[in-house]
Amino acid sequence: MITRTDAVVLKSMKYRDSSKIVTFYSRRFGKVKGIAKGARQMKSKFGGSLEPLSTVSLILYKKDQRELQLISQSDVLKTYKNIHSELERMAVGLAIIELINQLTHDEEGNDALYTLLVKSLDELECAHKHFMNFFLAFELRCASVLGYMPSLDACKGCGRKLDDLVAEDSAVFQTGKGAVLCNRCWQPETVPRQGVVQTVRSGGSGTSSDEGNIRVSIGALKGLQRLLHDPLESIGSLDLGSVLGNEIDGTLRLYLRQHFEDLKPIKSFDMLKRFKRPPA
Amino acid sequence: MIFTAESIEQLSEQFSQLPGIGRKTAHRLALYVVKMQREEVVSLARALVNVKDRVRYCTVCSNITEADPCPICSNTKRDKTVVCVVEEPTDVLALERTNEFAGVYHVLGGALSPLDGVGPEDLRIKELLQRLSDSTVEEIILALNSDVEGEATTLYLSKLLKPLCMKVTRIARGLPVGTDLEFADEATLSRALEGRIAV
Ligand SMILES: [Zn+2]
Ligand SMILES: [Zn+2]
Repeated sequence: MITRTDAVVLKSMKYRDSSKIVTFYSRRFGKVKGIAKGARQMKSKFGGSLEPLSTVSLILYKKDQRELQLISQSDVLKTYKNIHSELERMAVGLAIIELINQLTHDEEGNDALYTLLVKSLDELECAHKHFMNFFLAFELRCASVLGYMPSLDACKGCGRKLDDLVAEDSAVFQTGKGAVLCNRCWQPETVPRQGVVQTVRSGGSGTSSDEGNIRVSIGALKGLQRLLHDPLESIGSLDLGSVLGNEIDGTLRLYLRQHFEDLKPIKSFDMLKRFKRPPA
Repeated sequence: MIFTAESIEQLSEQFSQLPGIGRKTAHRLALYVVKMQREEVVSLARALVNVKDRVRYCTVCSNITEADPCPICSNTKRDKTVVCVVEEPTDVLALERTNEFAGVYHVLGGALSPLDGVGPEDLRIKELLQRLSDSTVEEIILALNSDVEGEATTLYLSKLLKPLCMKVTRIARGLPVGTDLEFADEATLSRALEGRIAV
Protein backbone atom coordinates (compact mmCIF):
# COMPACT_ATOMS: atom_id res chain seq x y z
CA MET A 1 0.00 0.00 0.00
CA ILE A 2 1.37 3.39 -0.95
CA THR A 3 0.60 5.84 1.78
CA ARG A 4 1.49 9.32 2.91
CA THR A 5 1.97 10.74 6.41
CA ASP A 6 3.74 13.58 8.19
CA ALA A 7 6.54 12.43 10.45
CA VAL A 8 9.48 13.51 12.59
CA VAL A 9 12.82 11.76 12.07
CA LEU A 10 13.98 10.18 15.35
CA LYS A 11 17.02 8.23 14.30
CA SER A 12 19.00 7.63 11.18
CA MET A 13 21.42 4.74 10.77
CA LYS A 14 23.81 4.05 7.95
CA TYR A 15 22.97 0.80 6.22
CA ARG A 16 25.23 -1.02 3.77
CA ASP A 17 27.17 1.27 1.46
CA SER A 18 24.58 3.79 0.39
CA SER A 19 21.34 3.36 2.30
CA LYS A 20 19.87 4.46 5.58
CA ILE A 21 17.51 2.87 8.06
CA VAL A 22 15.39 5.61 9.54
CA THR A 23 13.04 5.63 12.53
CA PHE A 24 10.15 8.12 12.42
CA TYR A 25 7.37 9.15 14.69
CA SER A 26 4.51 9.63 12.25
CA ARG A 27 1.10 11.20 12.66
CA ARG A 28 -0.86 8.34 11.13
CA PHE A 29 1.06 5.22 12.13
CA GLY A 30 2.97 6.17 15.27
CA LYS A 31 6.51 4.85 15.21
CA VAL A 32 7.63 3.52 11.84
CA LYS A 33 10.97 2.22 10.70
CA GLY A 34 11.92 2.34 7.07
CA ILE A 35 14.74 1.88 4.64
CA ALA A 36 15.76 4.66 2.27
CA LYS A 37 17.74 3.14 -0.55
CA GLY A 38 20.59 5.24 -1.90
CA ALA A 39 20.00 7.95 0.72
CA ARG A 40 23.70 8.44 1.36
CA GLN A 41 24.63 9.12 -2.22
CA MET A 42 25.50 12.74 -3.04
CA LYS A 43 22.66 13.15 -5.49
CA SER A 44 20.08 11.19 -3.52
CA LYS A 45 16.48 12.36 -3.88
CA PHE A 46 16.22 12.30 -0.09
CA GLY A 47 18.75 15.09 0.32
CA GLY A 48 19.02 16.20 3.92
CA SER A 49 15.49 15.15 4.83
CA LEU A 50 16.38 12.04 6.80
CA GLU A 51 18.44 13.60 9.55
CA PRO A 52 17.13 13.46 13.13
CA LEU A 53 14.92 16.45 14.03
CA SER A 54 13.61 16.91 10.49
CA THR A 55 9.86 17.15 10.08
CA VAL A 56 8.93 15.57 6.79
CA SER A 57 6.11 14.55 4.55
CA LEU A 58 6.69 10.87 3.95
CA ILE A 59 5.58 8.49 1.23
CA LEU A 60 5.88 4.84 2.20
CA TYR A 61 5.26 1.48 0.65
CA LYS A 62 3.75 0.06 3.77
CA LYS A 63 3.00 -3.55 4.59
CA ASP A 64 1.58 -4.16 8.03
CA GLN A 65 3.43 -7.40 8.70
CA ARG A 66 6.74 -5.90 7.67
CA GLU A 67 9.04 -4.45 10.28
CA LEU A 68 11.00 -2.35 7.85
CA GLN A 69 8.96 -0.22 5.42
CA LEU A 70 10.25 1.08 2.11
CA ILE A 71 10.60 4.85 2.06
CA SER A 72 9.69 6.13 -1.37
CA GLN A 73 9.87 9.86 -0.82
CA SER A 74 10.60 12.29 1.99
CA ASP A 75 10.10 16.03 1.70
CA VAL A 76 11.21 18.43 4.40
CA LEU A 77 8.38 20.40 5.99
CA LYS A 78 10.49 22.28 8.53
CA THR A 79 14.23 22.69 8.83
CA TYR A 80 14.51 24.11 12.39
CA LYS A 81 17.41 26.41 11.64
CA ASN A 82 17.92 27.59 15.24
CA ILE A 83 17.85 24.09 16.68
CA HIS A 84 20.64 23.21 14.27
CA SER A 85 22.77 26.24 15.01
CA GLU A 86 22.97 26.19 18.80
CA LEU A 87 24.41 23.28 20.74
CA GLU A 88 22.19 23.46 23.83
CA ARG A 89 19.03 23.91 21.79
CA MET A 90 20.04 20.99 19.61
CA ALA A 91 20.75 18.72 22.60
CA VAL A 92 17.30 19.51 24.05
CA GLY A 93 15.67 18.76 20.69
CA LEU A 94 17.56 15.47 20.48
CA ALA A 95 16.54 14.63 24.06
CA ILE A 96 12.90 15.12 23.07
CA ILE A 97 13.11 12.74 20.13
CA GLU A 98 15.18 10.27 22.14
CA LEU A 99 12.46 10.15 24.79
CA ILE A 100 9.62 9.61 22.35
CA ASN A 101 11.67 6.91 20.65
CA GLN A 102 12.00 5.13 23.98
CA LEU A 103 8.41 5.56 25.13
CA THR A 104 6.68 4.44 21.95
CA HIS A 105 6.74 0.98 20.45
CA ASP A 106 4.47 -0.31 17.74
CA GLU A 107 1.20 1.24 18.84
CA GLU A 108 -1.17 2.92 16.39
CA GLY A 109 -0.79 6.54 15.47
CA ASN A 110 -1.53 9.01 18.26
CA ASP A 111 -2.54 12.39 16.92
CA ALA A 112 -2.23 14.13 20.30
CA LEU A 113 1.29 12.80 20.81
CA TYR A 114 2.36 13.77 17.31
CA THR A 115 0.96 17.25 17.75
CA LEU A 116 2.73 17.59 21.10
CA LEU A 117 6.03 16.50 19.55
CA VAL A 118 5.88 18.95 16.66
CA LYS A 119 4.61 21.78 18.83
CA SER A 120 7.44 21.19 21.32
CA LEU A 121 10.05 21.37 18.56
CA ASP A 122 8.36 24.44 17.05
CA GLU A 123 8.46 26.29 20.34
CA LEU A 124 12.00 25.16 21.12
CA GLU A 125 12.97 26.62 17.75
CA CYS A 126 11.48 30.03 18.61
CA ALA A 127 12.42 30.26 22.30
CA HIS A 128 15.02 32.75 23.49
CA LYS A 129 16.20 31.01 26.64
CA HIS A 130 15.62 28.21 29.19
CA PHE A 131 15.71 25.55 26.48
CA MET A 132 15.87 22.79 29.07
CA ASN A 133 12.29 23.59 30.13
CA PHE A 134 11.07 22.24 26.83
CA PHE A 135 12.45 18.81 27.62
CA LEU A 136 11.01 18.81 31.15
CA ALA A 137 7.62 19.94 29.82
CA PHE A 138 7.78 17.31 27.10
CA GLU A 139 8.50 14.55 29.62
CA LEU A 140 5.46 15.52 31.67
CA ARG A 141 3.13 16.04 28.76
CA CYS A 142 4.27 12.93 26.94
CA ALA A 143 3.56 10.85 30.06
CA SER A 144 0.18 12.59 30.32
CA VAL A 145 -0.80 11.85 26.73
CA LEU A 146 0.19 8.23 27.29
CA GLY A 147 -2.19 8.00 30.24
CA TYR A 148 -0.14 9.10 33.24
CA MET A 149 -1.09 12.69 33.92
CA PRO A 150 -0.16 13.61 37.48
CA SER A 151 -2.56 15.71 39.51
CA LEU A 152 -0.40 18.41 41.05
CA ASP A 153 -2.66 21.35 41.83
CA ALA A 154 -3.84 20.32 45.30
CA CYS A 155 -3.45 17.81 48.12
CA LYS A 156 -5.31 14.67 47.22
CA GLY A 157 -6.33 14.14 50.85
CA CYS A 158 -7.79 17.47 51.95
CA GLY A 159 -7.97 19.39 48.71
CA ARG A 160 -5.84 22.31 49.89
CA LYS A 161 -4.26 24.10 46.93
CA LEU A 162 -0.45 24.26 46.41
CA ASP A 163 -0.54 27.99 47.15
CA ASP A 164 -1.91 27.22 50.62
CA LEU A 165 0.87 24.72 51.28
CA VAL A 166 3.77 27.15 50.76
CA ALA A 167 4.27 27.58 54.51
CA GLU A 168 4.83 23.83 54.84
CA ASP A 169 7.86 23.97 52.54
CA SER A 170 7.36 20.51 51.04
CA ALA A 171 4.83 17.80 50.37
CA VAL A 172 4.86 14.14 49.42
CA PHE A 173 4.59 13.25 45.76
CA GLN A 174 3.29 9.74 45.18
CA THR A 175 4.88 8.91 41.86
CA GLY A 176 2.86 5.70 41.55
CA LYS A 177 -0.47 7.50 41.80
CA GLY A 178 0.70 10.81 40.41
CA ALA A 179 -0.79 12.54 43.44
CA VAL A 180 0.32 15.07 46.05
CA LEU A 181 -0.28 14.66 49.79
CA CYS A 182 0.28 17.47 52.28
CA ASN A 183 2.00 16.94 55.64
CA ARG A 184 -1.31 16.68 57.48
CA CYS A 185 -2.66 14.01 55.21
CA TRP A 186 0.56 12.05 54.88
CA GLN A 187 1.06 9.71 57.83
CA PRO A 188 4.49 10.67 59.13
CA GLU A 189 6.70 7.87 58.02
CA THR A 190 10.12 8.78 56.81
CA VAL A 191 9.97 9.79 53.22
CA PRO A 192 13.38 10.63 51.93
CA ARG A 193 14.05 13.48 49.57
CA GLN A 194 14.35 12.32 46.02
CA GLY A 195 17.75 10.93 45.23
CA VAL A 196 17.81 9.08 48.52
CA VAL A 197 14.84 7.13 47.29
CA GLN A 198 16.69 6.32 44.14
CA THR A 199 19.57 4.67 46.02
CA VAL A 200 17.15 2.73 48.17
CA ARG A 201 15.39 1.45 45.07
CA SER A 202 18.49 0.51 43.13
CA GLY A 203 19.77 -1.26 46.25
CA GLY A 204 16.69 -3.44 46.04
CA SER A 205 15.62 -2.83 49.63
CA GLY A 206 12.79 -0.67 50.98
CA THR A 207 9.20 -1.73 51.30
CA SER A 208 7.13 -1.58 48.19
CA SER A 209 4.49 0.69 49.71
CA ASP A 210 7.11 3.38 50.32
CA GLU A 211 8.51 3.01 46.87
CA GLY A 212 7.99 6.00 44.70
CA ASN A 213 6.79 8.27 47.52
CA ILE A 214 9.13 11.21 47.59
CA ARG A 215 9.31 14.49 49.39
CA VAL A 216 9.34 17.41 46.95
CA SER A 217 9.51 21.13 47.63
CA ILE A 218 6.34 23.14 47.01
CA GLY A 219 8.39 25.27 44.61
CA ALA A 220 9.21 22.22 42.52
CA LEU A 221 5.58 21.07 42.54
CA LYS A 222 4.49 24.50 41.35
CA GLY A 223 7.18 24.39 38.66
CA LEU A 224 5.95 20.98 37.54
CA GLN A 225 2.39 22.26 37.50
CA ARG A 226 3.37 25.13 35.20
CA LEU A 227 5.47 22.92 32.94
CA LEU A 228 2.40 20.73 32.55
CA HIS A 229 -0.32 23.33 32.04
CA ASP A 230 1.18 26.63 30.85
CA PRO A 231 0.89 27.22 27.12
CA LEU A 232 4.00 25.76 25.45
CA GLU A 233 4.84 29.07 23.82
CA SER A 234 5.51 30.61 27.22
CA ILE A 235 7.59 27.73 28.65
CA GLY A 236 10.81 29.41 27.47
CA SER A 237 10.19 32.39 29.71
CA LEU A 238 9.74 30.28 32.83
CA ASP A 239 12.89 30.81 34.93
CA LEU A 240 13.23 27.79 37.23
CA GLY A 241 16.82 28.38 38.29
CA SER A 242 19.32 25.54 38.60
CA VAL A 243 18.35 24.25 42.05
CA LEU A 244 14.65 23.94 41.26
CA GLY A 245 15.47 22.77 37.75
CA ASN A 246 17.54 19.90 39.13
CA GLU A 247 14.89 18.94 41.66
CA ILE A 248 12.23 18.91 38.95
CA ASP A 249 14.47 16.89 36.65
CA GLY A 250 15.12 14.32 39.38
CA THR A 251 11.44 14.11 40.32
CA LEU A 252 10.40 13.62 36.71
CA ARG A 253 12.95 10.88 36.19
CA LEU A 254 11.52 8.95 39.12
CA TYR A 255 7.97 9.61 37.97
CA LEU A 256 8.65 8.40 34.44
CA ARG A 257 10.61 5.39 35.57
CA GLN A 258 7.72 4.45 37.85
CA HIS A 259 5.38 4.23 34.87
CA PHE A 260 7.72 3.22 32.08
CA GLU A 261 9.87 0.53 33.62
CA ASP A 262 12.27 -0.01 30.77
CA LEU A 263 13.05 3.68 30.37
CA LYS A 264 16.78 4.19 30.03
CA PRO A 265 18.64 7.43 30.80
CA ILE A 266 18.21 10.04 28.05
CA LYS A 267 21.72 10.31 26.65
CA SER A 268 21.19 13.60 24.83
CA PHE A 269 19.98 15.23 28.02
CA ASP A 270 22.97 14.00 30.00
CA MET A 271 25.14 15.32 27.19
CA LEU A 272 24.07 18.86 28.08
CA LYS A 273 26.14 18.54 31.23
CA ARG A 274 29.06 16.92 29.43
CA PHE A 275 29.16 19.77 26.93
CA LYS A 276 29.70 22.23 29.73
CA ARG A 277 32.72 20.45 31.16
CA PRO A 278 36.16 21.01 29.63
CA PRO A 279 37.20 17.90 27.66
CA ALA A 280 39.52 15.89 29.88
CA MET B 1 25.50 -25.40 9.35
CA ILE B 2 25.30 -24.40 5.73
CA PHE B 3 28.72 -25.69 4.65
CA THR B 4 29.97 -29.18 5.26
CA ALA B 5 33.39 -27.86 6.32
CA GLU B 6 33.53 -26.08 9.60
CA SER B 7 36.57 -23.97 8.67
CA ILE B 8 34.67 -22.42 5.76
CA GLU B 9 31.79 -21.72 8.07
CA GLN B 10 34.15 -19.93 10.45
CA LEU B 11 35.76 -17.85 7.72
CA SER B 12 32.38 -16.91 6.34
CA GLU B 13 31.32 -15.85 9.83
CA GLN B 14 34.45 -13.65 10.08
CA PHE B 15 33.77 -12.01 6.72
CA SER B 16 30.20 -11.23 7.68
CA GLN B 17 31.49 -9.15 10.61
CA LEU B 18 33.03 -6.70 8.13
CA PRO B 19 31.11 -3.53 7.32
CA GLY B 20 28.91 -3.71 4.25
CA ILE B 21 29.21 -7.50 3.92
CA GLY B 22 26.05 -9.55 4.24
CA ARG B 23 25.71 -13.31 4.71
CA LYS B 24 25.60 -14.18 1.02
CA THR B 25 28.65 -12.13 0.14
CA ALA B 26 30.50 -13.62 3.11
CA HIS B 27 29.76 -17.14 1.83
CA ARG B 28 30.90 -16.20 -1.64
CA LEU B 29 34.16 -14.73 -0.35
CA ALA B 30 34.85 -17.79 1.80
CA LEU B 31 34.35 -20.07 -1.19
CA TYR B 32 36.63 -17.87 -3.25
CA VAL B 33 39.39 -18.35 -0.67
CA VAL B 34 39.08 -22.12 -1.15
CA LYS B 35 39.86 -21.67 -4.84
CA MET B 36 42.82 -19.30 -4.29
CA GLN B 37 46.47 -20.45 -4.50
CA ARG B 38 48.01 -21.13 -1.12
CA GLU B 39 50.63 -18.35 -1.60
CA GLU B 40 47.88 -15.86 -2.36
CA VAL B 41 46.04 -16.80 0.81
CA VAL B 42 49.24 -16.50 2.86
CA SER B 43 50.01 -13.08 1.47
CA LEU B 44 46.45 -11.94 2.16
CA ALA B 45 46.72 -13.15 5.75
CA ARG B 46 50.11 -11.45 6.10
CA ALA B 47 48.74 -8.18 4.73
CA LEU B 48 45.97 -8.27 7.31
CA VAL B 49 48.38 -8.84 10.18
CA ASN B 50 50.82 -6.21 8.86
CA VAL B 51 48.15 -3.55 8.89
CA LYS B 52 47.37 -4.35 12.48
CA ASP B 53 51.03 -4.47 13.52
CA ARG B 54 52.41 -1.49 11.65
CA VAL B 55 49.68 1.08 11.50
CA ARG B 56 49.30 3.44 14.43
CA TYR B 57 48.05 6.92 15.10
CA CYS B 58 50.20 9.95 14.32
CA THR B 59 51.08 11.61 17.63
CA VAL B 60 50.55 15.02 16.07
CA CYS B 61 47.36 14.76 14.00
CA SER B 62 45.94 11.37 15.06
CA ASN B 63 45.73 10.21 11.45
CA ILE B 64 46.61 6.59 10.77
CA THR B 65 50.22 6.13 9.69
CA GLU B 66 53.22 3.81 9.70
CA ALA B 67 55.76 6.56 10.34
CA ASP B 68 55.29 8.85 13.28
CA PRO B 69 54.78 11.76 12.70
CA CYS B 70 52.85 10.96 9.54
CA PRO B 71 54.10 12.03 6.09
CA ILE B 72 51.76 15.03 6.08
CA CYS B 73 52.87 16.32 9.48
CA SER B 74 56.56 15.80 8.68
CA ASN B 75 56.33 17.41 5.22
CA THR B 76 58.13 20.76 5.46
CA LYS B 77 56.16 22.13 2.52
CA ARG B 78 52.84 21.90 4.34
CA ASP B 79 51.56 25.03 6.02
CA LYS B 80 51.47 24.29 9.75
CA THR B 81 49.54 27.46 10.54
CA VAL B 82 46.34 26.03 9.06
CA VAL B 83 44.75 22.96 10.66
CA CYS B 84 41.80 21.22 9.08
CA VAL B 85 39.74 19.22 11.60
CA VAL B 86 38.04 16.09 10.22
CA GLU B 87 36.16 13.11 11.66
CA GLU B 88 37.96 10.13 10.14
CA PRO B 89 41.15 9.20 8.23
CA THR B 90 38.98 8.64 5.14
CA ASP B 91 38.11 12.35 5.23
CA VAL B 92 41.83 13.19 5.01
CA LEU B 93 42.05 10.99 1.92
CA ALA B 94 39.06 12.74 0.37
CA LEU B 95 40.48 16.21 0.99
CA GLU B 96 43.95 15.19 -0.21
CA ARG B 97 42.43 14.02 -3.49
CA THR B 98 41.33 17.59 -4.20
CA ASN B 99 44.98 18.77 -4.23
CA GLU B 100 43.67 22.07 -2.92
CA PHE B 101 44.69 22.00 0.69
CA ALA B 102 48.29 22.65 1.73
CA GLY B 103 47.79 22.83 5.48
CA VAL B 104 47.77 20.00 8.01
CA TYR B 105 45.00 17.91 9.62
CA HIS B 106 43.59 16.85 12.92
CA VAL B 107 41.57 13.64 12.97
CA LEU B 108 38.98 13.48 15.76
CA GLY B 109 38.17 9.79 15.39
CA GLY B 110 34.44 10.38 15.07
CA ALA B 111 31.83 13.02 15.83
CA LEU B 112 29.74 14.00 18.82
CA SER B 113 26.55 12.01 18.94
CA PRO B 114 24.22 13.00 21.78
CA LEU B 115 21.72 10.30 20.74
CA ASP B 116 24.38 7.59 21.06
CA GLY B 117 26.07 9.07 24.10
CA VAL B 118 29.30 9.94 22.26
CA GLY B 119 30.63 13.02 24.04
CA PRO B 120 33.68 15.33 23.86
CA GLU B 121 35.81 12.99 25.99
CA ASP B 122 35.34 10.21 23.45
CA LEU B 123 37.02 12.19 20.65
CA ARG B 124 40.58 13.50 20.28
CA ILE B 125 39.59 17.00 21.30
CA LYS B 126 41.91 17.19 24.27
CA GLU B 127 44.79 16.38 21.88
CA LEU B 128 43.65 19.18 19.57
CA LEU B 129 43.67 21.71 22.40
CA GLN B 130 47.10 20.54 23.49
CA ARG B 131 48.37 20.90 19.99
CA LEU B 132 47.01 24.42 19.70
CA SER B 133 48.44 25.55 23.00
CA ASP B 134 52.05 25.14 21.91
CA SER B 135 52.08 25.83 18.22
CA THR B 136 51.66 28.66 15.79
CA VAL B 137 48.28 27.79 14.38
CA GLU B 138 46.43 30.76 12.87
CA GLU B 139 43.40 29.13 11.34
CA ILE B 140 41.25 26.14 12.15
CA ILE B 141 39.02 24.79 9.40
CA LEU B 142 36.18 22.60 10.61
CA ALA B 143 35.49 20.08 7.85
CA LEU B 144 32.93 17.80 9.45
CA ASN B 145 30.02 15.87 7.95
CA SER B 146 26.81 17.76 7.38
CA ASP B 147 24.72 15.38 9.49
CA VAL B 148 23.44 16.06 12.99
CA GLU B 149 26.59 14.57 14.55
CA GLY B 150 28.87 16.70 12.38
CA GLU B 151 26.84 19.79 13.18
CA ALA B 152 26.92 19.16 16.91
CA THR B 153 30.69 18.73 16.68
CA THR B 154 31.10 21.93 14.65
CA LEU B 155 29.01 23.88 17.17
CA TYR B 156 30.90 22.45 20.12
CA LEU B 157 34.33 23.07 18.64
CA SER B 158 33.61 26.58 17.44
CA LYS B 159 32.47 27.49 20.94
CA LEU B 160 35.56 25.87 22.44
CA LEU B 161 38.06 27.37 19.99
CA LYS B 162 36.78 30.91 19.54
CA PRO B 163 38.21 32.16 22.87
CA LEU B 164 41.66 30.97 21.75
CA CYS B 165 41.81 33.96 19.40
CA MET B 166 42.45 32.23 16.14
CA LYS B 167 40.44 32.24 12.97
CA VAL B 168 37.85 29.44 13.05
CA THR B 169 36.10 28.61 9.79
CA ARG B 170 33.85 25.83 8.61
CA ILE B 171 33.53 24.42 5.13
CA ALA B 172 30.48 25.60 3.21
CA ARG B 173 27.44 23.35 3.04
CA GLY B 174 25.57 23.57 -0.18
CA LEU B 175 24.65 22.07 -3.48
CA PRO B 176 26.63 19.19 -4.89
CA VAL B 177 28.40 20.29 -8.07
CA GLY B 178 26.38 19.43 -11.16
CA THR B 179 22.94 19.49 -9.56
CA ASP B 180 20.01 21.64 -10.57
CA LEU B 181 18.71 24.13 -8.03
CA GLU B 182 15.11 23.08 -8.66
CA PHE B 183 15.81 19.50 -7.57
CA ALA B 184 17.62 20.39 -4.36
CA ASP B 185 15.82 19.51 -1.15
CA GLU B 186 14.78 22.24 1.26
CA ALA B 187 17.34 21.40 3.94
CA THR B 188 20.25 21.61 1.51
CA LEU B 189 18.93 24.69 -0.20
CA SER B 190 18.31 26.61 3.00
CA ARG B 191 21.84 25.88 4.18
CA ALA B 192 23.30 26.84 0.85
CA LEU B 193 21.48 30.13 1.18
CA GLU B 194 22.75 30.58 4.70
CA GLY B 195 26.34 29.98 3.61
CA ARG B 196 26.21 32.41 0.67
CA ILE B 197 29.34 34.48 -0.04
CA ALA B 198 29.94 37.85 -1.68
CA VAL B 199 30.94 37.73 -5.35
ZN1 LIG C 1 -3.91 17.41 52.73
ZN1 LIG D 1 50.18 13.58 11.39
